[in-house]
Amino acid sequence: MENYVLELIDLRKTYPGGVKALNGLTIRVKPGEIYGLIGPNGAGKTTTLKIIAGLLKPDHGVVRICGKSPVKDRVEALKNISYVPENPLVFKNLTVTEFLKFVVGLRSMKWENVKDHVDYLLEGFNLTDKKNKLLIELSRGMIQKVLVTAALIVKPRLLVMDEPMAGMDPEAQYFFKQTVSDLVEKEGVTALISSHLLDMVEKFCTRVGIISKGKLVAEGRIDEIKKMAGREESLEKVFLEIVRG
Amino acid sequence: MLRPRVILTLFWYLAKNRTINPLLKRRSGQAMIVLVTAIFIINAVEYTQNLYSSPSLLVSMEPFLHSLGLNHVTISLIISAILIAYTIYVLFRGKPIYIPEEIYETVLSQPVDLEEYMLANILETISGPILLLPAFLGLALFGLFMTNDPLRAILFMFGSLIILSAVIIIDTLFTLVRRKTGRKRLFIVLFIGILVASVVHSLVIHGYSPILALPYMPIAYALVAPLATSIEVSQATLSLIIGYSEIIGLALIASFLARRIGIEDLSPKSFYRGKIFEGGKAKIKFGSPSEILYSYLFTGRIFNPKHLGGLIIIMAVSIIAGLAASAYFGVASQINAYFIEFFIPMMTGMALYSLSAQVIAWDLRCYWLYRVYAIDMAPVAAALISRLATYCVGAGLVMLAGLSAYFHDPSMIIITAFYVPGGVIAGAIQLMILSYMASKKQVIRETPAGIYTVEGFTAVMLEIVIIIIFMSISGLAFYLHSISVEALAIGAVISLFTAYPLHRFLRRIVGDMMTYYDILF
Repeated sequence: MENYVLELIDLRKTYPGGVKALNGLTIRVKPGEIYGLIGPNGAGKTTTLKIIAGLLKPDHGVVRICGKSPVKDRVEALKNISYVPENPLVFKNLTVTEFLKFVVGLRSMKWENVKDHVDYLLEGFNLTDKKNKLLIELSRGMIQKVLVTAALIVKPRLLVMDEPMAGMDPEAQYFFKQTVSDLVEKEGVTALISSHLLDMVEKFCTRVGIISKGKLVAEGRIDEIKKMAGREESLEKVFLEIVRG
Repeated sequence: MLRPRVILTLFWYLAKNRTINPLLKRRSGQAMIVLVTAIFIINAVEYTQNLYSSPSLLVSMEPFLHSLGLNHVTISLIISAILIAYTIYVLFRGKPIYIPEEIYETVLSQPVDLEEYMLANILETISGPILLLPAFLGLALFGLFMTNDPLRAILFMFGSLIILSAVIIIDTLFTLVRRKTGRKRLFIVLFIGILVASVVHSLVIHGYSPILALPYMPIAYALVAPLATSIEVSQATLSLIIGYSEIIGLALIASFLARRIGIEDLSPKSFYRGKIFEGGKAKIKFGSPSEILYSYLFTGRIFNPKHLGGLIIIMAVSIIAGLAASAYFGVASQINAYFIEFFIPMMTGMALYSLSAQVIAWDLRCYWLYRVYAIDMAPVAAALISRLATYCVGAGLVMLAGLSAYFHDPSMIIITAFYVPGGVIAGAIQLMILSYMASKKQVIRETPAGIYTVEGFTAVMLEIVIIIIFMSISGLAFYLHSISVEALAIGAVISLFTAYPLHRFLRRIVGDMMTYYDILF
């Protein structure tokens, strides 16, 4: 039996009011993959990521993170992941360092053990001179970098990120991709990234899932998906063709 | 298995974010600490050297309060009754447990048990107001103003904060009871039973029933005791400790129930981001941008059957309460000057301040829309001034309707006219302060109970402005009333005629400020 870092099997989720967000979604992610989840607005990407992050409960289906369910065994399952939300909302009256210490504290880790890695990431994101600033004083892009830093310092088994590069400057985007690639290659981290930046997904992700109306409509390596669509064009054109049916 | 270290980490950073850093790392917070300390040192010196020449406001008010049948025990019973009514409201209300979105996204996606989060949150809820003490300058000044005694003022501040903690704990506890125990009906019957039994008992004994004391008397008494001159300071301190013990007891029950909580019992509550008008029906209306804005923000919102019906009901309740009080306790032989000039404007001002904060908070949600689409901010300013002034007049009308009924003096209603220009000035100054302060920092925040409030220093400034304006207007109006009804009527006519030019003048200034300053969200 194959080992998966993440297993989502036949997930269904309907919001109060009758909006069907997920309609039988099944995704399996193997260790060491950078899995790109793409789809039009309202396809169910954020709902999927929130279910993985333990923020929503599916109406039906199975979620397993390294074999643990975030519904039944919340703490043990969430120990394996780091989540970067779509909206960069943070504790505005904490400084950058305080916020990172907070996240490290919640994971029962020692600050001294991660401090060097924190310094490296803050420098890479050009945040070294901002580390004693309150988060309320930072721009949206900077807050996004802080959230990504918080996700990366704990070196989880699965990184779950919803539009992680939104608002980041090109230099930070480059550093982000380098760092995630390093973590995947050297530390065995797996990443699940939801994004509308199809160019980035095409070049950066090792496997892609296209989701539409709460269902997976295509999945595979980029070349496999292109083959499936019968064309050798960019992911953007293939995506449009698949989504439009 | 609960992890104390995680709970303490959560508690510490929640407290840092909500209370400690805003005070210690922000200049406004530091200034407030210095100001509060200075005021207390000056007053403590004056008090110890017996420099106060006149009796405290509370001592002056005592005969009047006694004429209404009120003393520290009966006032505590009334507060206890209000808390019982609030509990019933929470039990009936269908909302989930709201948490700020940033906590929802960043904390609940961490390996944190929901019970651990709830425990840390409850801990912070209880201790938060204590850590925030220096921000409650208004309460401290109110305490000093009432008692002339810095020690009692500090105790009163703690007492006031206990009510804040109580409201939040009651909200959390009974939301949990309603959603998690399946005993909602039992508790509704219990609390309504207490309320009904106490009303019946009160009517039978011609006084305030002690049944009201059942669930919340220690909390209510902790608020009132510091102000009661007949109670020793040591006794007031003891009642405060007992009150806080009840809060801790309620918190422990809430913590126990939190074990049954599920992620979908917690609902993230977003505030500003991307908000546009909610809950309204789409309407097509033709006119100039100014007319549309004014109509949307003022006339359409205020002059609708819901608001007018509400005003009529509140006025009717006020009149009935006034008539009942006069029948029950008898009309006081003369109007107590302190009561009229200070206490009523202060209480009305405080109520109005809280209402304005809600109104302004609501409007700031879609402020970006006005900034993007309104060619000129003057119509927005005009509509908001009109709205705040209308609330001011409405509050005055309700208050005066009750007083007129109590004193059997319909001419008092004329005083309402004085609140028209007063409301315009108060509304304009409030908006000026908010425009300026909101350009420096985020001024509206959402409490864990889901109530919007204006933050710290800005709140104090707004409170002071409203109270001073209310006091001045009431002082002038009641002075004219004491001369003759004719003098009052002439003053009222002049007031009404000055309101419009004032409004035109101030809306331009406020509009310019709203254009000039960028609001931070």
